[in-house]
Amino acid sequence: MRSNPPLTPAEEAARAAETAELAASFVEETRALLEEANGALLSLERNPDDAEAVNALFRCVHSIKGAAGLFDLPAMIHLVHAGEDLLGAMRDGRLALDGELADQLLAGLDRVGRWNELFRSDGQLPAEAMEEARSFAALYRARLGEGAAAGTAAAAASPDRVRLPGWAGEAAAELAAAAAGEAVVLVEYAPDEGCFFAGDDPLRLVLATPGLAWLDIGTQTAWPEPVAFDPFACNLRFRLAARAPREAVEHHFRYVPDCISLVRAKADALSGAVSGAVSGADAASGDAAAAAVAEEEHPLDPIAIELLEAQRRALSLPGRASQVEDIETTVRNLCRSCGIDWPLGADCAGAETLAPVIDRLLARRDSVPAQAQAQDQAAGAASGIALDRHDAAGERTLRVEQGKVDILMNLVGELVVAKNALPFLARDAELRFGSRELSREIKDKYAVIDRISRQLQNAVMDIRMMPVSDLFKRFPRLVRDIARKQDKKVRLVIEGETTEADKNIIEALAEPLTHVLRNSLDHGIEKAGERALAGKDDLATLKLRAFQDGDCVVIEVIDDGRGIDPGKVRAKAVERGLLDAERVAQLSDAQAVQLVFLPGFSTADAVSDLSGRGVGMDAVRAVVERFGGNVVLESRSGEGTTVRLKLPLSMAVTRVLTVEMAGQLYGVPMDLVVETVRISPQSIRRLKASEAVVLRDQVIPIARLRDMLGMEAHRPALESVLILRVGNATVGMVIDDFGTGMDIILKPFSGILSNLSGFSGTAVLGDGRVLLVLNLKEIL
Amino acid sequence: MTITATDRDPADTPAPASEDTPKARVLIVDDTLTVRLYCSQLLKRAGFAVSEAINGLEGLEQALNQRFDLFVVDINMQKMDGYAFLAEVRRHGDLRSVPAVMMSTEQGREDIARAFQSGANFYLTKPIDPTRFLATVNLMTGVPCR
Repeated sequence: MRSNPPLTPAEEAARAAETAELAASFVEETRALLEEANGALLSLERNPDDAEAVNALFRCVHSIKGAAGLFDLPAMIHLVHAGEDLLGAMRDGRLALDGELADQLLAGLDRVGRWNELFRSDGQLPAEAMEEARSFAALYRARLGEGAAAGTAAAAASPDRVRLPGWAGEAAAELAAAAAGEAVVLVEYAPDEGCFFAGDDPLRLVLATPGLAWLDIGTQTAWPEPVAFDPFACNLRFRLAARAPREAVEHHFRYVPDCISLVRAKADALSGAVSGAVSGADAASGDAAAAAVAEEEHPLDPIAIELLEAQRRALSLPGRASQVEDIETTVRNLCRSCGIDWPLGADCAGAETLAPVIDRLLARRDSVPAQAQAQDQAAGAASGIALDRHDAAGERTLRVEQGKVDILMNLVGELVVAKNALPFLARDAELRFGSRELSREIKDKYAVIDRISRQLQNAVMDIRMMPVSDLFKRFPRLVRDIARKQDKKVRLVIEGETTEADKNIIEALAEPLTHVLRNSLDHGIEKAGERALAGKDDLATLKLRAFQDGDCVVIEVIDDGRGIDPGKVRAKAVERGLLDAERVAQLSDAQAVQLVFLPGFSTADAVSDLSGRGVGMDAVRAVVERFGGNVVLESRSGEGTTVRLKLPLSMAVTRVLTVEMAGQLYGVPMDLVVETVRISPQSIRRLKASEAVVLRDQVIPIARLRDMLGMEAHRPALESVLILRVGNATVGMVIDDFGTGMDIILKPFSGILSNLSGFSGTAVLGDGRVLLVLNLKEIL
Repeated sequence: MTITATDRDPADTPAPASEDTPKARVLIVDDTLTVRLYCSQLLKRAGFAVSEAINGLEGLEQALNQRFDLFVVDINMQKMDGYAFLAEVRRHGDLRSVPAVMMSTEQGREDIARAFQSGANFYLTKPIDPTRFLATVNLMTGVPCR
């Protein structure tokens, strides 16, 4: 092997950075490909005739295999390769996809996904990966009907109980010197017929086997008649014994796992094995091998020879004889590269002229300089050349780390706040410094800055928007797996995938939405038999729908299952001690159904392994409300259930109404405010321990913010009341005075304050004051 | 680094391997980002100018608009696969003489035969062996070895 010229530290650092970039790109791309493969597999399962899906699946797996080869990931390649063979059979119509096969393929994809993440975090695969890959490959091969023909799989499955191959005795004689009890590894290696084209050099691989102690070279099948002999087809078969750990030998042959069978045995056990007869074909192969060795030792440039041979072969192809310009260029370039004078003129030669030239070149292999040297020089020259960071054409999108966008968002937030200082400045200019003109100037400039920062804010928020499809694409797999496990027939319909929302919201919705879907599958959708009895279609429909509604994104999960039984829910609520029987009886059916949102509620009679994981609808509601949204559940017994999650499109900017309390400003989320009223204290009526006011014939309970914040009571001539809509209830909140509405960037509490209840966060006002934003759902 | 169509034919004159002028111009047509990135890192480091295309159609578009000294082509791609790309290239007057190397994980003899039939001049299997790849590119573009 050639040695690399020493690198300077800077070059080494650049190399390392390139390698890291490559690995990161691989991990990310593999993730995307696996996702696509998953999707394709699911759509294939729904529609087995979907040729497009088979092709997509095949292409994904193929791409993963190609890219994985750039890293030391033999296990991943082995698994993917076996999967690819299986998919190839499906593509050619030799094999049909069934549920079990889909399970196996999905499991394989999952495993590759897990390895991909391990590769990302650890830079390598776990030690047992190859073993796992083999069992997957065996599984896939069994499906292909080949059984464990290659032997590798069988050997891997039961390494200790493998029969010694028939030729073990031959090896034993040669290994006579081996100490009794010493272990050797026996390998039979039958290279692929096309391996020469693949650039494999089987002999070199074999000769480099660690601890090689014995080697026998033969043929896979008897040599054909000379007329039919194809020098490009590999017919060699190697048998060898190596004194090295099994792992080392396996690792050595890691890129040809399909072509080898490997057994580990005690050296003295070998002689007991039946000696295999040496066939005439085997004897004949000796000469071929000798020739191969001789060629190997030839001091010529193997790649140049290969390239020339390839051109010679291309030239003889029927379709290529009339079109030889590229072949000529290739040969001409090769000559120049190797310092050989081009024997023909500059004009394009025909196939007849070119063929003898190539033959002559092939004949003078001896004079061709060793390519290795040349490469050293090329690499040496190259290492001095600065990297050309010129961007490749084609990509029209830009991948940006989320962290960078977050920084941008934070800066925009600060800008919005800083800009809010200008109106205060304008007021000061007028009131404190008496310059009305300056005040107007400031206000004019403020209007401009306000407009620009608003546009900037929208632009940045737009970057953070992503389609819900990123969230939805994980569900077909989930629904399929659960439905299969529960033996239910479910069709998942997804609508409105292109609807967009803020990335954080999309990400936060993953868990609650998963739970809602699980609930539908577990409790809502019936088994086919039960559906038939109810006169419903066998195939249940689960619809996942997203659409934009004003400033909100709405996501609905609609099933046509049995619906929620209000009676059952009432009974359960009482049993769980959540409400007393009397109150439960007063609830309407629609209200009773809402009881599922109570903490500690679960209607599952038996806790399945799917839902019932201690995450109930209350958790779903909590997550959604944390992001300023709400959950609505509608259910008709026997007809199905709809769960509707409604969230703001973007959470970055919150509009609040400021309220004044004892000289302090607090913020109330504007979307909860229905109206503001001033009423006389007398119109607030006392009802037992609570207070209420009648407003337009509606009785509205009253809460006093001063009480809730632990402030002293305050009795003004007119009470300022905020009418709020919290959840499904309307509440009046008595405050000291109304402030103004404003846009703020809400910063949640962090550190020791993060557990503080009653407030959702803070925002800095333009004049530097800190605004506490109330979490009304918690304090009311 | 812009490439103009008026550049001299590299087959006639040895390409100078200075730090400013690329040794040769290579177009990589592969749908796998990681493979493209790897090849172009390798080639750029060795002083080649590299362009990338994600499928045959894009590759053809670039091949028709810029001059290249070598095509490195994957087989399995959406829209236009490697075979179709090469067949197109070989049909086109200006592109007929540009050498092409096919690169794929396929190792079957049929795939390889088809590659040569479509107009490939060499076939490399993935995983890419960097030494072999660079040596091939050097030879096929006529970059002097000595």
